Amino acid sequence: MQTGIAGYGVYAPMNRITVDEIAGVWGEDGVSKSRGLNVFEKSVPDPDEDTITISVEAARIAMKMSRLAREKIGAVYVGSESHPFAVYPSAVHVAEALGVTPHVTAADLEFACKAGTAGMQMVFGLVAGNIIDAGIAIGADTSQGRPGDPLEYTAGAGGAAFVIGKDNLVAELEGTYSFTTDTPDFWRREGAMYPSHGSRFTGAPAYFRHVINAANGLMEKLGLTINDFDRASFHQPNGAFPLKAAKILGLPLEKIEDSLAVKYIGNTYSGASIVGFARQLDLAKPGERILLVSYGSGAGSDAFSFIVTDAIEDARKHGVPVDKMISRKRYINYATYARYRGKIRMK
Amino acid sequence: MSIADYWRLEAPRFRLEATKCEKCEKLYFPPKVVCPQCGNKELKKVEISGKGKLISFSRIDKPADEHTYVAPYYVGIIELEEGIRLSGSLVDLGDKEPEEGMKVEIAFRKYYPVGDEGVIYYGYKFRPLLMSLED
Ligand SMILES: [Zn+2]
Repeated sequence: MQTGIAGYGVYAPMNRITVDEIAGVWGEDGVSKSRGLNVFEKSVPDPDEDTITISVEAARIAMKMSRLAREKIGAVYVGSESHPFAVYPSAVHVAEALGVTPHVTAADLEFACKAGTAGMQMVFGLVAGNIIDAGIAIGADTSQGRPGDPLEYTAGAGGAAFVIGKDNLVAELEGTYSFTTDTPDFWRREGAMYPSHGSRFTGAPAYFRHVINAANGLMEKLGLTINDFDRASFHQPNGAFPLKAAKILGLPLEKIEDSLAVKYIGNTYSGASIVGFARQLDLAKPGERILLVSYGSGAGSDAFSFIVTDAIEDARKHGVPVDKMISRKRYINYATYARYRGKIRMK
Repeated sequence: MSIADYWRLEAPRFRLEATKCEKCEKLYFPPKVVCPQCGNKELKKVEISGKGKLISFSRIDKPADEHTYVAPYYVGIIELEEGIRLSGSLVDLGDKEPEEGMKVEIAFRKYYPVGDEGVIYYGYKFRPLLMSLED
């Protein structure tokens, strides 16, 4: 029996700060920053939001869309690089909030920005192996950039959740393939508040090498060419990298443009490629084939091919469109942003 | 709130778990173990919708220390679709003031972190309707 996605949900906090506002604080030109990054604004969590709350909200939407009984859920994985606790899983909070405890396996995953897709692969494996009926994989983050660092323009907050199983499928999994190496482009030591990165080293040997190789490896494995895909979503650390990757792969830009939620909510790290994928699912017609490629620093990419089913049109009515999350917003200035994100040290 | 109290209240706080006496058709939230009307000890666990309307509200400018990180904020009395009334913080208002009668639903949020190294308490708050396009 075919495995695939039975429901999906996206959540983004409603605060936005514009790239222009951040640029003004550091004496940079906001218009050219926005144009270069292809990012206009980013989401900022309320002080009482974090990776756990975002994961719960996204998972509630995904569960509602799937119409699966909670007893069917046998696994909950939360992928993030901003788990609120170093020890005490985000996944148990999510499982309890969804009411799927105690007959469930749960774990937190970490692989920079691809921990969410790593969780999807794990659930697909458990479902395909008939170990569980269905499971939930989530990628969510509330990542931070050091004040003044280029990452500050793009580090957003949000996440996506997928209910994966064999019943009520909105998209069937055709196959998955990963490309992984040890590449030190971006890291954060235990206890450090902000990440460090290898600056220009993050492009060619890191993002592009892994994304391109994962996409090509998947197509080779499935006997497909880039022309077989109707839509795509790649990891989106900014709005420029995925377009460049599409160009290298020979994918027409209009097939990836719809995925670029990063332009409006910033880089949601573990959520980024899958929020874009969810937006493609919102817009796709039955029968369309979608390419999803994540990227996590360190480094690796997971590539997936999905075929959208006829059931998606009815299922969407039970979810919340990604655009609704993008369009509900409240603008904040840098001072409020600094307070919300704990950038003002009181002691 | 102690960790033990928090843990005991997790089901109602995390997913609005209530109990129902099937003899008198009465719903209890927070959940009760024994029906105070008929003494029935076999109350059924049920989940309530989390959707309702705002009955009244007030603005909190000077909260207890552990809540200053979200101040100022509003607290409201909400009447859920099932007829239960409960209080909760209001979130995601944007720059708008709350309005009596406005439709709200549960949001999952942090209550407060216990110092720098303690646990973080989570539970429901209420926001303007977002989830419910249909059903
Ligand atoms: Zn009774």
